[in-house]
Parts: sequence; structure tokens; C-alpha cells
Amino acid sequence: MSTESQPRLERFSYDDDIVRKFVFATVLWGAVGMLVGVLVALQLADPAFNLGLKWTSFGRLRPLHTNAVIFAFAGNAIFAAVYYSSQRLLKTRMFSDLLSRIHFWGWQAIILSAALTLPLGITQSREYAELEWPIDIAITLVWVVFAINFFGTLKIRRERHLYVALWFYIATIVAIAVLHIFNNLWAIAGPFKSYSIYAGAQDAFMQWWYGHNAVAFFLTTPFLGLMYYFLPKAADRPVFSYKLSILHFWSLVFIYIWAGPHHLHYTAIPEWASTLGMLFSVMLWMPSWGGMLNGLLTLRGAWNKVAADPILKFFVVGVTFYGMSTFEGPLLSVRAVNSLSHYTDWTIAHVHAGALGWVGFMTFGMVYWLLPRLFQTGTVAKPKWMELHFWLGTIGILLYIVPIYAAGLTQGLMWRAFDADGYLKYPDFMETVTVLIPMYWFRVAGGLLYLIGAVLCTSNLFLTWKKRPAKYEEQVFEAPALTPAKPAAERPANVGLLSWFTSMDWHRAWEGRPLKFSLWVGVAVVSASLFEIVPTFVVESNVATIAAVKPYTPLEVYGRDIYIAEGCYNCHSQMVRPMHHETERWGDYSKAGEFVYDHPFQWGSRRLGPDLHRVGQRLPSATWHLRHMRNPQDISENSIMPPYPHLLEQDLDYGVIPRRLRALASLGVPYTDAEVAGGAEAAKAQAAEILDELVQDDPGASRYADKDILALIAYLKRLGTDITKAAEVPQR
Amino acid sequence: MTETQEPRDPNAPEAPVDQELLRAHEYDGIREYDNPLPGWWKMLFWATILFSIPYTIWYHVLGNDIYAAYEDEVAQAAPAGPTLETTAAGLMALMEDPLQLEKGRKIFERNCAACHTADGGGLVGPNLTDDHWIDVRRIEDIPEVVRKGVPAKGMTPWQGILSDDEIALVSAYVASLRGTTPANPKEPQGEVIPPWSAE
Repeated sequence: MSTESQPRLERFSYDDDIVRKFVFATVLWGAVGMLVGVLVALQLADPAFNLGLKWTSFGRLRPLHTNAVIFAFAGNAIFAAVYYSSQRLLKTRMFSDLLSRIHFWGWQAIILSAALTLPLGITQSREYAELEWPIDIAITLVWVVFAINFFGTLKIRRERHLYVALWFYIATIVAIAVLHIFNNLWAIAGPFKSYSIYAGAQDAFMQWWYGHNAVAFFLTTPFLGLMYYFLPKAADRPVFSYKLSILHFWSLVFIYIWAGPHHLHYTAIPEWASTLGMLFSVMLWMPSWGGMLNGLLTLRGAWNKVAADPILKFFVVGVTFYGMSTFEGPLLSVRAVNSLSHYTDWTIAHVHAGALGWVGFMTFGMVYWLLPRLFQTGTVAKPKWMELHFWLGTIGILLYIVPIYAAGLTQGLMWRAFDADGYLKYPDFMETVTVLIPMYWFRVAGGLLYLIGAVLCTSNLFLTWKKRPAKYEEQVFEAPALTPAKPAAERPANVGLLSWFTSMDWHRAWEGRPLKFSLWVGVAVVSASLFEIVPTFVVESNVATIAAVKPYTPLEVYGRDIYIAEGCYNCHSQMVRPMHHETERWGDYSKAGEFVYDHPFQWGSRRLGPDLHRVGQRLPSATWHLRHMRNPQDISENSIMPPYPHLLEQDLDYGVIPRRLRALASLGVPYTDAEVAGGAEAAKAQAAEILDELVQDDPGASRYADKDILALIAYLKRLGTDITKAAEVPQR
Repeated sequence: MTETQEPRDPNAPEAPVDQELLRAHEYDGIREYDNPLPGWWKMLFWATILFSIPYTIWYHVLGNDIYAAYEDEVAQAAPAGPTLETTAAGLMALMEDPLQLEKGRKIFERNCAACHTADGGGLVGPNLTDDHWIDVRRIEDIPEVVRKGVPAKGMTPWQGILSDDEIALVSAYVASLRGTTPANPKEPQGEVIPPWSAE
């Protein structure tokens, strides 16, 4: 008989306080973000809801909505899931309680700073990466704190192997770090002003490499991790297939990175990149559905529980929407489909199916499962409200997405329609907007129902919290210390290479070595990125230069900054696609060489208003722009654009111009030192010319001397005009 | 799939966990089955990967790219060449043809209405319905103004954006607006000119 003693048991407890904090933040910010969502939905149905204030116009609030729901609601939900499940899956408290708190309060401070700066018009104008450089640095620091805390926890774990949920958390932390840093490289031009180091087509490429993978690694992988922990816990059933977990994890991590360019089909990026984006998106279909299958089939044999448990209902509908969105994603990335869907509301419906259905419902399911456990109340305060919330949310999603799918199709089909004579059937863009307004009201109703559900969740949280015990009981657990890793499993001599690979036994060894595992995740993410990024930047033929394209004048740079600050890109694209109906409607299609001085690019991603790339050719009248910006409805009765009277009152700040030019010059825009130094004077002279033009039409316009509007007009008059001076234009 | 046919009755017994298929490990009470990958899942995954090859050949090698498609589309839509005359007589004739005027109206709505309003009453641009004209004396001046614009006053030069035929059609349509009653006419600008004539 062996006299060897049992390994010594270690005692530890979990830090649930940090999870409670993140859950509170999730639910509260969620309600705020969705409230702003309803407000911006109202603004599209009726522009009066822009409230006549510059801080509350659609262009400034839409980024606030997207940032709040992505980084505040989904972000805090991710952290709650990671902090709760990792401690339990690793049988240890978090590495450092202090780092946990720095992470929590730091993240909330970042959210607050976003809520303050975005309405003020402080923005980089890069979708889902709008926050300006000081906040970007803060995000980096907080993310590093999170990473140290998480990997430190892996280090002190008492469980040798990592469960699949943790793989997804690792992928999230590694990939978001890479994406955030490389998409936020800038030249600083002021305390809250920067210019992207990339320009035009390359900037667009980087931004959508980031934008698409923010969906992948902020809204998908962490929520799959969440699913893998909370769904089998709530159902008390084994996960359907370990092999499927392995295969769909690695294929998602590797393939997702390539798919970004599908956001740029038919634009002036190189065609090979567009093709890669499409093909890898199509390949993503099954890896994504691997996650859906593992979620839904885990419930096999336990569907009776789903009927009885609102938490499982949230999960089932959430996973189903995940399956739907990840089928639709590859579909939308097929060029032919994209030619119809891009720039329309179809994209908006698609993301809301994913965001409200998948991210939202997985989060609410998790929160309801956690409430009685975190607050030690045995049950949530209002169990019946969960069921009510589930139905309000489900009906809300349908009421939102069905009309918006219809709106997207309507727009896409109307834009491309020709009549029998070969003319655009709907020559007035306004026609394609007014027809959508009833559908926009449906969206408001659907969004409102979803918001009411979120408010029910908030109330339930507070009522449950009120029932908490005077002092939380701190449970103490026992587990043996981590045993040393076994040597990596060797392939037995009688097992072939292929069957050894498909048996997945080699993977088991990886799961016991977090550092190696994380390294391979990093390799997958970085190598896939480099395959696309390096050629985009080094192959010169990707951006054929056009000699006639010159840098913007100092006043135009300043006007462009106004365009960015007001968030014009939220409704207006600057990209005419090579399609007959587009060139009929907007003018010659856009060439990559026209954007080489665009730091950052302003191609936009939707057309709630007309494309503006050729606006300088088509609308050269300063008076037109003045009157239109003062009140768009004066020019176009049914316009849903908010008015911008403040631009007619704000003084042009000539003093900032040299610093901005210097920043641009440092990025390679060919401004001479003299041009930089004389930037303010040159801007003044050009502003005086624009003013002369206005005064010719209306002597009263002299009161706009040295006002912001002159700079914006200068920029709009310049847009898309250089190419008319070109002797020869490369055709692609 | 079988799971959808199983009873949803909350009182129905839950299917027992299949111990045979379970993997040995367990995390915080979570177990995993060792189920094989679904066959249709594997097949579709391979299919989406293999699809890349024929698509890339079709698109990049056989030249079915978006620019080729665009050129085809434009070539099919374009008429053989300019067919309409912008002489006084030519424009007067177009004014008599409702089908041609209808084409002119569409071009006008797309390109001119932003400044002249859809009914020609004028806004930033002058009223096109009255007898006062700034740069036009005779009907054949209209296509000239459309072509070259009036850059000093903010009017777009449309040559290069509109085709010659489109310029003829829209000019005839503009001429036809004279004498109509717009909803919000702009005050007259320029001088009174004689009625249009073919001579």
C-alpha cells in the first residue's frame, strides 16, 4: 500500500464584489445606450428630435449610441462574465483585487469621457473607434491592466486545463489589443485633435480591418465564451461536442481577421483585397455555426427546461439570432448581394439582429442567472418580469428588424431602378428617403419595447439588490494546488497523422499550457492581418496616383475638420461605386488616387443622405450651401437633415490651422514650411473669397465674415473636383 | 434533427445524460460530450473553402470583375452618339414631343431641382418660369448656359457630367417651363426677353 499523502488542499474564495460592480454597470449603461438609440431612431423619423441643439444632432449622437451599447453595455457584460466564470473555471480568486478595481473604475471613466466628448464633436470619425487620442491611450492602459489581471489569474490557477470559455476570452484580449493599437495611430494636432497616419484607401482598409474585427472579437468571441459557461450551467447539461469547440474556435480566430474588406466592396480598394474579404467571409459561415450548434445541441434532451425557464429562453433566442446573423453576414459579403445592400438600412437591420438578439439576449440571460447568486437572495426579486422582459424584447427585435430590412431593400432597389428610356426612375434622392419614414416609425416602436424590457431588468436588479443580506456570505472553497503539466501527448506509433489530428488529443496538451495557447492565438490573428495589410501598403499599384489631386488648402482642412466633428459621415458617403446607376446619379466613380490626402478617409458606410464625393462638381454655389446648412428644409422640404445654424455664428479659429497643417505635413502631405507658417493668412484670404461670393447674391451675407460656415463651404466646393483637371485618369 | 421532435412539455422527464459519451474532464460542474462533428457541417465547411478556387478564377482570371461589368452596363445603356440637335429649331421640336419632355423632366429633377426647385420656381438659382432671363436671350442660349454654367454665380458647368443628348433634352424642358405657375416663384431677375422662336 502506498503511504503517499494526498496533495495538500488550498483554501480560497472568489471575488464576487467585482462581478456585482460590472453587472450594475452593464445594466445601467445598457439602458442609457438604448435610450440614446431610441432618440436617434426618432431623429430619423422626424428631424425635430434633433432638438435644435448642436450637441444633440444625429451626427454626434449616433456614435454615442454605438459606443455606449458596444463598449459600455456589451463591454461591461463581457467583464462581468470573464470575472465570474474565470475564477470558477480556474479555481482561484482573480490575480489582483486592486487591478480588478482599476479595471472597473478606469473603464467607467473611459465611458464617461466618451459620453462627454462625442456630443461636443470631439471625434476621429472612425466608426466604433471615434474616441480621440487621450481616451485611446486610457483604453490601452486599462486593457493592459485587464490583461495582466487575466493572465495573472491563469498563472495562479488550480485547474491544469483551460475550458473552452477561457480560450475565447484569451482570443478577445489578444485580438482587441492588436486591433485597437494599430487602428489608432495618429499625428497629434491639438489636445483633442488628431489625424490618422493612414490616408484614403489605406485608412479605409485599416478602419474596416478594425471595424469588422471589433464585431468578431468584442461582440462574438467573448459572448461565445459567455455562452459556453452560462448556458450549460443554466441548463445543467453537458456541452454538445468538445471536438466542435476546438475546430470552430481555431477556424473563427484565424478566418475572421481576413473578412474586413467585405465592408468595402465596390469601393476604391484593390480588388484582390475585396475578393479575400468575400471568400473568407463565406468560409466563416460554418465556424460560426459551430458555436450555434454547440449552444443549441447542448439543450438536446432538455427542451422541457427551456419552456419553463426564461433564462434559457433568452439563451436560445440569443443563439438563434447568432446563427441567423452569421448566415446573413457571409451572404451580405458576396459582391452581388453587397451591391444591393451596401449603404442601405439592410446593414442596420443585420447588425441589430446581432446586437439586440445575440449580444443583448445573452447578456440579459446571464444577468438574470447571476442576480440571485451574486446578491445571495435565492431568486430574483420579480421572477415574472423576466418572462415579460423576454417577450417584450423578442417582439421589439422583430418590430425593429422586419421594417428596416424592408427599408433597406426599398432603398437599394429604388437607387438602382432605371425606366424604359434609360433614365433613373427615382431621380430625386429625396423620394427614396420619404418612402422610408413610416418604417422608421416602426423601428422607434420596436426599439421602445426593447428599451422597456431593459428597464424591467434594471428594476429587477435594484429590487434584488435591496433584498441582499446585511453581509454577504463569503464561501470558502478547497482545491489542491496546480499539478505540473504532463509532457505533451505523443502520437502513438500505430496512429496515422490524420487520425491523430482529428482525434484532437494533441489539443488537450495545449489546453494545459496557457502561454503557448495565447501565443498561437496571437500568431493566428497577426499572421492573417499581415497577409492583407502588408500588400495593401507596399504594392504601389494599389493606389494609382493622379497628378491633378492636390492637398486641401488650409481653409479646406479646417472645413473638413468641421465635417468630421459634426459626424457628417454618419449619413453621407463619399464614394461613388462603379455602377451605372451610381455614375448616373452622382457622377464619375471614385478612384483611389483621389483620396491620398484624406487623413482620415470619409467614405462613410451608409446613405441616409446623398453621396457627397462629387458635390463640389454638382453644387458649386456657396449660397446654396449656406442656406442648406442654415436650414435644410428651406431647400428640400422633406429633408431629414438637422439644421446647423451654429456654424453661421461660430468664429473661425484661424489660430489652430498651422498646428493642424504641421501634423498633416508630418504624415507626408506635401505642405512646405512656409505654407504651414502662413496657414492662417491663406485661410483668411480664401474665407474672404467665399464671403465675396455670398455677398454677391445677398449683401446681408457680410455678417458671416470669419464664421465657421465659410470653411465648410470651401471644403464642400472642393470635394471631388480635382479629377476634372486631370489630363489622364487611371481607370481602376 | 431529433431534438426538435422531443416533447416540450415542462412536466416531461429530461433525457438522461449519456455517460458513455462524456469526456473525462469537468470544469465547475460543466461536462463535455465527445460527439463527432456533424457530417453536413464538415461538408459545408469544405464546400465554402473550395468555393474560393472557381470564384477566384472566374473573377480574376476570366475577367468578370466589377469594372468590366460596369463598362458593359454603360456600353449597353449608351446610345450610338449624339442624335438631338441643340439648335433653336431642334429645341422647339423637342418641346412639342411629350415623351422627350418627360425625359427632360427626369434629368431636370435629378440635376437642377436642388437650385431651381422641381417646378422651376427658383431658389438659389433664378426662376425659370417667368419672362426675365439673365444669361439667355434666345432659346439656343439655354444649352450653352447648361454646358458652361455660370461659375461666378454658382451655376454648375454640366458639360462632361451630362451627355449632349441630355443637355438638349433638359434645355427643351427648361424652355417649356416658361409661362407655368410654380408654387413659390422667386422674384424676377434679368431682363424681359421675347418669346422663344425657331428662327
